[in-house]
Amino acid sequence: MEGGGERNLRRSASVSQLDMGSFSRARTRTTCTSFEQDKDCIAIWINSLDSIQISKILDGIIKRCNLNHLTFLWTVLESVPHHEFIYHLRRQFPSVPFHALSTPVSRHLKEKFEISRRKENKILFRADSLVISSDVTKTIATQLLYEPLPELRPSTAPHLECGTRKGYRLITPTRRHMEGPIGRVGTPSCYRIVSATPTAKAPPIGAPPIRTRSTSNSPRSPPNVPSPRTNAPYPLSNVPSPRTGAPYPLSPHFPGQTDVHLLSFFHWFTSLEKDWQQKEILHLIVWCLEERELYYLATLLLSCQYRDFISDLPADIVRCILSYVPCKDLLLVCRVSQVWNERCSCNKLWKYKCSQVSLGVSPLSSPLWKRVYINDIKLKRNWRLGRSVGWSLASHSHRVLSVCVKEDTLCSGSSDQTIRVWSLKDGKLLNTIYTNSKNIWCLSFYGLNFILSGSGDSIVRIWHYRTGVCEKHLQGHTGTVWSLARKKDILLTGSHDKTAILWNIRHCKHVSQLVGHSGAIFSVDLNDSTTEAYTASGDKTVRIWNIYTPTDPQCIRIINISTHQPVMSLSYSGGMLACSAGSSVSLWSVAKGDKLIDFKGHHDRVESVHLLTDGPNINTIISGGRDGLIKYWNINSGRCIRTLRNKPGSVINDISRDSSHVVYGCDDHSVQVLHFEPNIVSEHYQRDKGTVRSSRRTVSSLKKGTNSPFSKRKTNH
Amino acid sequence: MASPAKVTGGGKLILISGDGERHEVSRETAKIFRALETMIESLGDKEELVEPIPLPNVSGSVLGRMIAWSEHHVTTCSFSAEAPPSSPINSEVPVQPVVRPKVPKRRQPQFPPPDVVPTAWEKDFLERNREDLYDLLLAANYLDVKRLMDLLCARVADLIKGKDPAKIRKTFHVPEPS
Repeated sequence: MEGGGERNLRRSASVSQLDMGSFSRARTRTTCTSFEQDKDCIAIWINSLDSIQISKILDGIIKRCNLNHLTFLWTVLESVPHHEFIYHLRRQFPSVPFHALSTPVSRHLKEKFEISRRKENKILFRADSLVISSDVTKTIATQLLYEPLPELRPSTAPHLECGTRKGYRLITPTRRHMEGPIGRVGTPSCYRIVSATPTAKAPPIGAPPIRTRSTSNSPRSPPNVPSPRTNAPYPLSNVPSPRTGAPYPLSPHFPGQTDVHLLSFFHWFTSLEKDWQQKEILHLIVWCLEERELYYLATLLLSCQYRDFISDLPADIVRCILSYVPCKDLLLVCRVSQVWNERCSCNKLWKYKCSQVSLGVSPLSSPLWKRVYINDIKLKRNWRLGRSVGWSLASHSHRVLSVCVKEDTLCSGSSDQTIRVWSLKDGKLLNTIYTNSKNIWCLSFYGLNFILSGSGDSIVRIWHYRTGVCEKHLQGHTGTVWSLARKKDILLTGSHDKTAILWNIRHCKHVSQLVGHSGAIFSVDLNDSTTEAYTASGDKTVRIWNIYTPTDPQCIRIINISTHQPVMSLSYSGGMLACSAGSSVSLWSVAKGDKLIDFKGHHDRVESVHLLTDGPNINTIISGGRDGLIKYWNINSGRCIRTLRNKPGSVINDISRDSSHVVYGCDDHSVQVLHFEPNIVSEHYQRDKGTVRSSRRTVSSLKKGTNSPFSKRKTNH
Repeated sequence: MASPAKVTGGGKLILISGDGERHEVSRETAKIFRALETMIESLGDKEELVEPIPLPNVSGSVLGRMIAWSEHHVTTCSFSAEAPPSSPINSEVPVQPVVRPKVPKRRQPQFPPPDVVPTAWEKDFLERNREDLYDLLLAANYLDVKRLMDLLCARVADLIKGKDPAKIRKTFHVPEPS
């Protein structure tokens, strides 16, 4: 026994190391032998525990496993011959990865069970997913199923052979009788062990550790040897425990203190530095488990997979999570399940998502922000694909020279001395304003009720468009007012008298005059902060004015747009200017005065351009001209995205647009509206089965009028 | 071990998890948990005997990780309670300091969320705890650790991103809608 005593000494040393390890991570394990010794201790300790304590160990250890370890455990469990259970799991959780890998353990287990089945020629019975190997146990189990066994009964059942692994033997008691619910997966902690029978010979007290170099199968143990788990007659039971000084491992007679051991064991497990060491421990635990406990481990592993975050977590955390998911994915996520859909359709979440994009549709279009967002997507798609529904509004008796649109209202000015106000919802004519000026060349909305008009008699008028009353006259120009632009209370008008005038429209006051062009000013624009003004003139240049102090405007840059054509139209947005001269459209940088890109494709003079750098059709230019084409262009690539062809031969005089409409006035006395609104478009496409894109609905009858040879403004000059 | 802890000014506190694990942490570390911050501040610098703080909603292993998190962030100084200097010691990505409101009111998860860029350490932390995102999320919410909350939310969102519904169902074990 000298050697045994020496080993005992070594063992106690290793246990004290175990103790240290549980509290100091810093300690390094240099020798493998000490680890092996620890392993032995643990094997003995685990074998002395009952199944409640084992389930506690499993609970704790699973929580401390990383993904690697869990996969490892899956691998081991896969081959555990609980086919019924595994089959059941597979059917219920088809998506759980049960890796069908072959490992030394799995091979060995399989072999072991097959051999035992073959050799002993036993019939295996199945009682509610419990594999029972003999008649005796069958009767016991049947009893168990229907009535709980009242007291401890030692089993006389034959036993499976114990496991041998790599030449050394581990103690694996394989059969215990259980009381309580049988076959309920996932609640094994309520099973109570009534009796158990060891299969391996329990080492005598003071004997060397259980790892004995033996290649032979272990002999059967006599049936009535008391269970090592219940009585723990193990050599280490008098080794001082690392923390309390109590025998280690504890026998179940001191159940209250087992938790302390569990914790110190977990500490020790997490303090292991090498991955393989932790795996070895897991390996060892799996070896020590019984069928029930393996079931339990398997269910634990299942619950350890990713849980259903969205359904289980509180709503505010879910919102936090989902706010990190891009909208496109979020719409997909809605289709996962009903609960997910509910969670993903949270209004607050979508309100946030809507605030992240530049919305093309009005936020008021739906009480649900998700709906708003979807409408916005559809609107953008309509713009991209050029899907629109065209309406023709015919009521004017002469050429339509100017249009402007705001939300659901459309105004058109014509040479028949009228301004007509239309509803864009149904295309009805709301009001007709009779002016005394011959040509209405430009229009702009102001506030809720007013409309500004510039006309051929050089007067800018302010109309109340609901009543049709002229509220104010702004007089200052001496030639036709070709163009006007308004931002906030600042109005800029460009006239044939080669000047532009800044007005304060709230006070109806003439602020200052921009003088400098040598040709008529055909188009004007302002930036959003009204610090700069842009004027396009018949002298083939564009001038940029500093109007930071509106009373003292200064020309800060002159850009030569063209060599031979007057600049007809101009539009400012986002630091860029889109200009049209002749049939060409070009984009210029305001800060540097450089030409950025040319857009070629129109065949005749371009009358109107609009540069859009926000809203549904971001970074596009819309242009239309005398060739009857409306094109929109991508300003990055310079390519034409879509061409909307008007009726052949009709001349477009002015274009206006908002986020969901393009409106243009034609020489043929009609005002044309292109709707990009998702509701109207989808309705139209459903009705027509997506056949005709250019079908037009004539709202009111087109009055036949003489097509005057008088073309729009610029030809006269 | 089972005796109540002596707390000196800026000394140790004992936290007890739901399953009875005891964790000894310094006051500075515990202050990272904003749920405890007010309580700790109310102690002041007094040297007094304080009962262990029970945290029934957090399990021992999760609490251990939370403490590892806070210990790291105390040492890197970037998330300490007062005026954090924006020079994390061992992180590659500059970390934005968290501005803490004076009101010690319990805060809802911030919405809309800030952009979070995890540092190398944090990335590693998340990767190590891949299996426990769920518990960590609950614990971070309970203990009110904002930065961890944000990182975890972003991490879970990463799991959702770019997957079709069938794949998501597979990942999160959602039963097929009938």
